[in-house]
Amino acid sequence: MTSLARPASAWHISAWLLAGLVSAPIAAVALNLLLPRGDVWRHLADTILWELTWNTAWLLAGVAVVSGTLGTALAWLVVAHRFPGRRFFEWALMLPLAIPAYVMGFVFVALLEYAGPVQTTLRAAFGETFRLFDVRSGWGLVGVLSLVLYPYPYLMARSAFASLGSAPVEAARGLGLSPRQTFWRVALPLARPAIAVGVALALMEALADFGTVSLFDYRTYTVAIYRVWFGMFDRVAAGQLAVVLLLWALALLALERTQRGRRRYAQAHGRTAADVWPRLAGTRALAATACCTTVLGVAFVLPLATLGWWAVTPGVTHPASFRPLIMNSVVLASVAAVLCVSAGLLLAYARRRTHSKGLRFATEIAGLGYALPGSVVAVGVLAILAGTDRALADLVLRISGYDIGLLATGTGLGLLFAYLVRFIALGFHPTEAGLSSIPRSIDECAASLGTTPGRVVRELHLPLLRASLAAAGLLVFLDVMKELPATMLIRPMGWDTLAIAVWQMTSESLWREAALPALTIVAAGLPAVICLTWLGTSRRTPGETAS
Amino acid sequence: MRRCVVACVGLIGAVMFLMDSAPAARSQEAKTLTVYSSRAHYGAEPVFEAFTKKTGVDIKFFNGNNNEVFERLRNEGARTSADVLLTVDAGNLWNAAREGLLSPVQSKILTANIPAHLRDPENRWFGLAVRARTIMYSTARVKPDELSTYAALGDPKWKGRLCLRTSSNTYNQSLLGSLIKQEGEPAVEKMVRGWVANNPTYINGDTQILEAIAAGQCDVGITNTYYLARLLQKTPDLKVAPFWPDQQGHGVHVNVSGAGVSAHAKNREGAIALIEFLSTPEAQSTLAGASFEYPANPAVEPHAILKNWGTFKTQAVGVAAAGEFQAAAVKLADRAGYR
Amino acid sequence: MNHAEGSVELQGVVKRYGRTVVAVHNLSLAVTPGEIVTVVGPSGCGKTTMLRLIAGFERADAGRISISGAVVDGGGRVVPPEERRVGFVFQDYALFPHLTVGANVAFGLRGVGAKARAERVSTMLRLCALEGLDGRYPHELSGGQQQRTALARALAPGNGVVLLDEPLSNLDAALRRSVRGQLRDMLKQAGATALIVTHDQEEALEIADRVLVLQNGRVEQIGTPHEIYATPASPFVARFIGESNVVPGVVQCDGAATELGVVCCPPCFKTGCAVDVLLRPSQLCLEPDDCAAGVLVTRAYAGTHATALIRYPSGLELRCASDAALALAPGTRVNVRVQGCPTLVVAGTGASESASLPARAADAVGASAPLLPGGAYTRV
Repeated sequence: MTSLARPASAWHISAWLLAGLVSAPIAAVALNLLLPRGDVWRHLADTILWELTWNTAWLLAGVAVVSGTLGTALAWLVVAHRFPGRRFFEWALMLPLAIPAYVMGFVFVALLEYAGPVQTTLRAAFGETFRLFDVRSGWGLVGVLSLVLYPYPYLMARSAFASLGSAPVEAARGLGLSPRQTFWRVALPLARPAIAVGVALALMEALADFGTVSLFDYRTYTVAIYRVWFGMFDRVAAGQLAVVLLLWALALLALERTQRGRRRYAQAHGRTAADVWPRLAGTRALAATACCTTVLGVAFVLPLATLGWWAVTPGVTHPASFRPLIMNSVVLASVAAVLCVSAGLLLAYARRRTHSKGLRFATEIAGLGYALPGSVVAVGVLAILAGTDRALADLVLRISGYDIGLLATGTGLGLLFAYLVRFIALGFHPTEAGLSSIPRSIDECAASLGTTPGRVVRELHLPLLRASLAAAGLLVFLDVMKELPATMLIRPMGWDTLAIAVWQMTSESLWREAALPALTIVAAGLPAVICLTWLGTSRRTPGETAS
Repeated sequence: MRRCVVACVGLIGAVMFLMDSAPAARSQEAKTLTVYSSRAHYGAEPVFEAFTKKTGVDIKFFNGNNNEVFERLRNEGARTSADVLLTVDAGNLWNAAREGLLSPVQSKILTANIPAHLRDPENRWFGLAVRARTIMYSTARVKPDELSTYAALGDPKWKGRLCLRTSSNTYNQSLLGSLIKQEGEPAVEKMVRGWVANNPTYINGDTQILEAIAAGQCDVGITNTYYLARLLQKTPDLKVAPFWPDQQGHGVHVNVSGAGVSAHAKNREGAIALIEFLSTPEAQSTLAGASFEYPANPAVEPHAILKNWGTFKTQAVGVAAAGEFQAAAVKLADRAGYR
Repeated sequence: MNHAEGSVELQGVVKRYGRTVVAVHNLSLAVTPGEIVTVVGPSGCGKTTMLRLIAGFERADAGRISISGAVVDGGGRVVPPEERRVGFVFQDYALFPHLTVGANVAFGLRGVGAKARAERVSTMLRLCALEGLDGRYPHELSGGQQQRTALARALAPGNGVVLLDEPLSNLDAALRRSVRGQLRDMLKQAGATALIVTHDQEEALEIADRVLVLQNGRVEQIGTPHEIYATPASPFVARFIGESNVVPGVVQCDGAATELGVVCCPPCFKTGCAVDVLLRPSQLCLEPDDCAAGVLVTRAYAGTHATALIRYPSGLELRCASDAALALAPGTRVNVRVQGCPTLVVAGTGASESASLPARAADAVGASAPLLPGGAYTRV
């Protein structure tokens, strides 16, 4: 344990400021706890609270198991075995990340519901009474969410397995372990911390999701928040429910931390795990390729094809002008990505250099915006922005008599702040994981060579962090492209994005009209996803840690 | 050091560019009107273009969900740039009025054009387009004489044949709210329990419910009229028809899409002018016709498809009841097990 | 106080972790410029902590640390590691993986022109036998090359003081032996003051000008390698450095009577005292003798010499280093003779170790360390 003893430096102060700024909206929501709402809670406890808790727990467990298993299994398949198409699948399996969850949701619901094409055909073939499972159920939701979210555990697991190198795997083989035993007893335990991070990210998204969940008529805490907020017109009780959601998120994070264990710093070069066993042949190779093809087909090709089919169906009206929508979406997403990654790096760095438990806790709290439903975060942000604006404007008015109006509310700056609060976790976690895998001895060694801390960051950490930073940035980019509630609430007038265009259609159940904007979101996100995976698989400069 | 300076300058420049999009402190120009609207998903409506052509006043829209628009308006407080609030649900208007976001309008035109039960008793908001939430049934498998009231859907003969939207949906909450005002909570709770006992299939979209009825997944459901009209426009031979329940009793539940003047409107005259315009017969037929709603102005004829369905008795209780009893409706739904 | 460039001084340094663990306890040490001091001790004795305190990675809780005459830690003032000009070689080398060997070595060179930097780098590479490798990346180097790169990097800035934390522990035995000598040469050529932490005693004795033995954060002894080996100050040092046989005995007028016969005993012990006599395996000779009490149990061949384990009926077990053992079969009765005087005689078990006195004054070899007030070690 090192304590490069120095007094409260600029690092600490700015980290505290940032953490405070980003936590402020969450605190604004939590402040609702101070107001009594006993009657609402009693009502909830009498009626739906336990159903909500059970549903939420079940959903999280289901998504964790399915997406975690799918992601890890695919990652191991692709890293440790050689079969036709492996290089392609290595990055292609990340593609579902470009599709928003609610789009995936309504595609599958439309395809698989009773009145949809699949069941109609089956009924035509097998008779009118033939019934398939009901897609609008917990199982359907878990399935769709897992298809959308498996890339998170996949990404993390793949990096972890790849950074093992061939040594542990060869050692296992030498000890007589089969590939499957090697996976369970060697690779999986070593990769567990990374997989835990991936699963945690996926679960936070599932926890905060409203659009997809309500599409499947599945009642989670998030649905209850909206119900109390806009159904019972009770903002305060909704805020209190949101705090419960926060506790769930904290529990998730704590659980993920227990899985962290000690980080390994490994250099992957030369032989990889895949070189250890002979190339898959015959039926096994076919099975491997088929497996990957099926997953990719169901999770990416099928939705895209469906959307494309809908978009070209005659009689479907399209939004008047696409270019401003695309411009707005891409610009916002890019700026937000840079902002969140920089902020995440600052927090990660502060966490590394301090032993103040307070600051460590603050960085955890700052990341909670990701686990809250977008609307809740947005309203918290709006409250902060509006409050600050009002106070500032009143002050200026009193001093100068000039009303400057609202400065932050309804501006691009306010919107970026909302994105920061929501997505700083995405900028923080991969960066922190990358940073914590740089051994402290590097920092100390640089110090012994007379290097200033700034130079350490610029010349030593940043080059080694390139992959982590890029991964973080791309994740933020993708999420902001897809983001809806905060954008809708805080955006300046006339700043519509693609996601808003999709919403405008889906809110009136005009799925087919939503297809083209949805396709555009995917298309705009594709380069980002490809970049992300290329970073993960390319021959990096030696020693660069995987994200 | 130099890099720092460049970065700072760039950052300041970016900030200024972003702030530039801040709403004008004062939109004193009587030439623009700002409308916060949750009707935007119907697309750009020609009726607003007609208004601009007639008066020369430019309309700027802020579009969003009911909820988001409301929260934005509320948070902006006195410095909001909104002049008009336009929503798709009476409950929302009621809530906005209750929070003091709308101001009363004394207008002879509006009082004349909009019937009393379709506007706020205190004239803070006015319904402009009406939609009925009524029973839809499969013409192939159900005969109209099997249906009678909303509550009758709780009859065991509909077990497994009922499709409902969830109680989280505003339209259903408004339906239950009005029914509560009309008949009291115990009766409505009994009705809902009856529905739930019939194992309804929950489908979270009115259009999907109609498609499910057509396909045979269920035989009856409750949806808004304009969804069916839209579907019929595309596929005229769809075997689904509306049934007007409770014609001997209170009548069909209706809801409105309406507007009110923002309490802090900068262009109050323009706002009133817009709403008055929207209540006039020419505007009414364009507004309601495009979205397959019933015009609020009784002097105006609805779209042909709607006319085909005939006239029906509607609830006498004002649409404001939807908002007044919405919270109670949600709690009732929870108690009754209505998902 | 030594103000020379490259001197290191610790005075009464204390370092605590938490409330209970005291890693370094009232440590005092003075290292002259250009001296190589190896630090040995069991794990957890505080040797790495001491190094990190000197480097500035940890802050002392009490006491004073001075480098080149300037106080870097103490009296309320602490100098951050970047400003201490102390090179550090880590156990895992901590080479910057994304930089070439040349860039690694050049990393600490600041404020020099590009030409001067390139010259310095090539000088260091030559010094550390790394010519031609400046374009390679760390993962392309062998273990020995990596270690030398780490050393070159630490020496390059021309710091007067270099600290090495188990620099050879990652190398295999053969490589370690060959690098050992080179390490000393490289350090001497660079003229640096070096403190080297190691757990390998052979290495400690071979490289050092002086050896510092630590236990539980306290100095057990500091002295030249010969002093440490031949005249350990305490049983701990005697047991830790090289092997020791402990033979109980009773003081008589002419020495200490043990199972091996009478051995010399320093005069400070009173007749009749029970003592423990510490003998090195090299001090014991073997002779086969059918009437002897000791039995040869096992013997082992270690290349340079043979060791034998002799067991006595009293339970005493002795290790002897004697080539004669090779010719004897296990089970042979042997007589063990003591050559010379014991390495150390201490009071018999029951008395505290601190009451022990060093054996007779050894031949004074090398410089004697100055006595510092408040020091925790004694040296005759």
